[in-house]
Amino acid sequence: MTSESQNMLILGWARRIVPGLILLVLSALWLGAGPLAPRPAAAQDLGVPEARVILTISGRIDRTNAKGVAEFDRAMLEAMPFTTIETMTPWTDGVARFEGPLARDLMKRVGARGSRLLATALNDYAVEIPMEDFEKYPVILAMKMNGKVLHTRTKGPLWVIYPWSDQANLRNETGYSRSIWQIKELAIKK
Amino acid sequence: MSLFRRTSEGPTPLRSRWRFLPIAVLTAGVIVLAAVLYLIFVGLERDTWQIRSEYRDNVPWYANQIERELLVFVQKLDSYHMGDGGVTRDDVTERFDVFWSRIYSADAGNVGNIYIRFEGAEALLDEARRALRDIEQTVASLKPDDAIAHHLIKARLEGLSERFHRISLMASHQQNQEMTLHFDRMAQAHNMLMMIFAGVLTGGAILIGLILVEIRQIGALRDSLEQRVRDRTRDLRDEIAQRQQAGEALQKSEARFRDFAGAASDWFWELGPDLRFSYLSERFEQSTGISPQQVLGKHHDEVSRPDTRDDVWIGHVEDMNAQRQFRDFRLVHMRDDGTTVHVSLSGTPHLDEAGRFSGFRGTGTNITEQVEAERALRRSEERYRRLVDLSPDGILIHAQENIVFANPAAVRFLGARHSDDLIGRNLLELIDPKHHKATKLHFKEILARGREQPQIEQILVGLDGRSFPVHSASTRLPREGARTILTVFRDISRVARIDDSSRSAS
Repeated sequence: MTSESQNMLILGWARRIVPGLILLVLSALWLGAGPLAPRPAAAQDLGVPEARVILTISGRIDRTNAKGVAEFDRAMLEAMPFTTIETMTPWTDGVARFEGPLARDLMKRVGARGSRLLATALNDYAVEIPMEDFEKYPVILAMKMNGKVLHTRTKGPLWVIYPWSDQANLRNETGYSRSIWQIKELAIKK
Repeated sequence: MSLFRRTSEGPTPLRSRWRFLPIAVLTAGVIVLAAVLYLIFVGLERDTWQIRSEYRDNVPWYANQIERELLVFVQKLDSYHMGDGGVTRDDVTERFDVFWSRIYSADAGNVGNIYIRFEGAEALLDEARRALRDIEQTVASLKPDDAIAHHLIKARLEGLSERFHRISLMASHQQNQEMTLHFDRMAQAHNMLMMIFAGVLTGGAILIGLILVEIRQIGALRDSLEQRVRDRTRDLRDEIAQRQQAGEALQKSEARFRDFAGAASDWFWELGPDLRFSYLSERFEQSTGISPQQVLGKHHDEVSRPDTRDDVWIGHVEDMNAQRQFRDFRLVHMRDDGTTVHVSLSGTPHLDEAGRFSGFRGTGTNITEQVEAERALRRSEERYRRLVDLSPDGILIHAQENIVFANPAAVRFLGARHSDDLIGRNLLELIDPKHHKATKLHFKEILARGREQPQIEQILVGLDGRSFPVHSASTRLPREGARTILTVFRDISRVARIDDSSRSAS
């Protein structure tokens, strides 16, 4: 067999194999985009709590870091930008200075898609809060009061604080009833 | 009943005084009603605000939560000790911390200030805080099977639950009392508002009824007024028409007066109460050539030179002083060039509105030409009289044959001593009866034809019986009477004797 005839043989084989290889690669790519492909890493966006979980967000959220929920330890929340609200409350003396992440930032962070949420405290007290409150007002989940970290004994670790002193329309039974302290869970609802 | 006073009859003092009473009463009622409504709404607002505060602060719930946290903590503690429900020590400490938060912040803030005022609340909180501090370490190190620690914790908390419950009841009771008070007051306000509403409705209905009645009465009054206006308009129209007619009649009368006065006179004049000229019409100067400034402000005797001893002047002065009307009083004005103007004045006194004498008004006429004509006539008459008196021919004037005039020559020819001897005598008595017939025919011709007839020869017979021939010529004097005849005769007896002598001589 001459070299020329050998070349012709190789080209013939190539012509038969290449279309099949192309089909094989495309099939693999198509299948890989499905169950075999890695899903968006929500847990990687939220991070994973390394200490005791102080807040669990469940319900209609896009990002989770646990089994269908988003869990936060104190460090994860303290890593978020803090907003300060100076206001009077019916349960504190004088004007108190509260610091904590904005509720709307937290909702964005977990990809909340509901119109309301159910906040539950350590003592199982629960209250429903419209999500629009977080858009209309700078509502925070206070983690500090007057510079001191809030613990369970001081109505922590998280306390929903509205800007009551700045917004007179919030100084009513509805506005105060949504100020739940010792929060342990937020359930996003439709 | 009428809300408003009628004005068509004219307000009386009493009506004027009470005229605004209905409006004042209505205004006062509205003010009182507004004040009552204001007070009611202020009270309602206050009660509403207080009720909202009660709900907002929710002190009974606040007190109940403290009691509940204690019970939940004790329940968790028991479950942990009994090993039920998978309760861990973290669960126990968490409930302990929650209860701790309640106790240590129970007197903080507005709600805490209310809570602490309940009887025994402050002491209870102090006691609870001491207890929590006492058991804090024990709870932190608690083990499920540590019955002693469990007992010590519960013993330390014993009695607190009942006391917290009592305060919770007090808070609920007080809130109930306050709510009842607020709702009672709101119910009263509501009832009062309903009564006011009903009163306003009733009053409004009555007011609307009164207004409707008033509108009807006003409508009737308006109709009456419109009728009166129509009647008055018609009367005014008639009055205007009458006045227009009267005005036109007056204008005609004035025009007629002006025509008559203008025809009868040349100018108008006025004398003031001091009998000085105060007005002269424009035609005075045109008629007399004398400037009014020379006359105005002067007396009659200053503008002319009267003979104050003349009876006419004296009578005129008396008329004026007695404010009597006078007519055709004649004056002579002197012009600047020295010529004179004769004027005739007629005047009548006039009075002002109070009836006081205010002078004379009248007309004046320039009679200079008339005076001069009269003078000329008088001069002519004098000349003719002298001519008749000196005439050598006899002149007789007789009416219907009765002699009314005889000149001296006729008196002399007819043998009379005076013309009176002839006047009244029938002319035929002085004519020879043989010529009567011819004479009558002659006079008849004269009267019928009205023109002079040829001389005739007659024989006259004087009063002394002497007869003598005459040539006579006669003519009618129509202005002296319808049958008046002038006859001039000449004694021709001397001529006849000469003729007889001539015939005898020849």
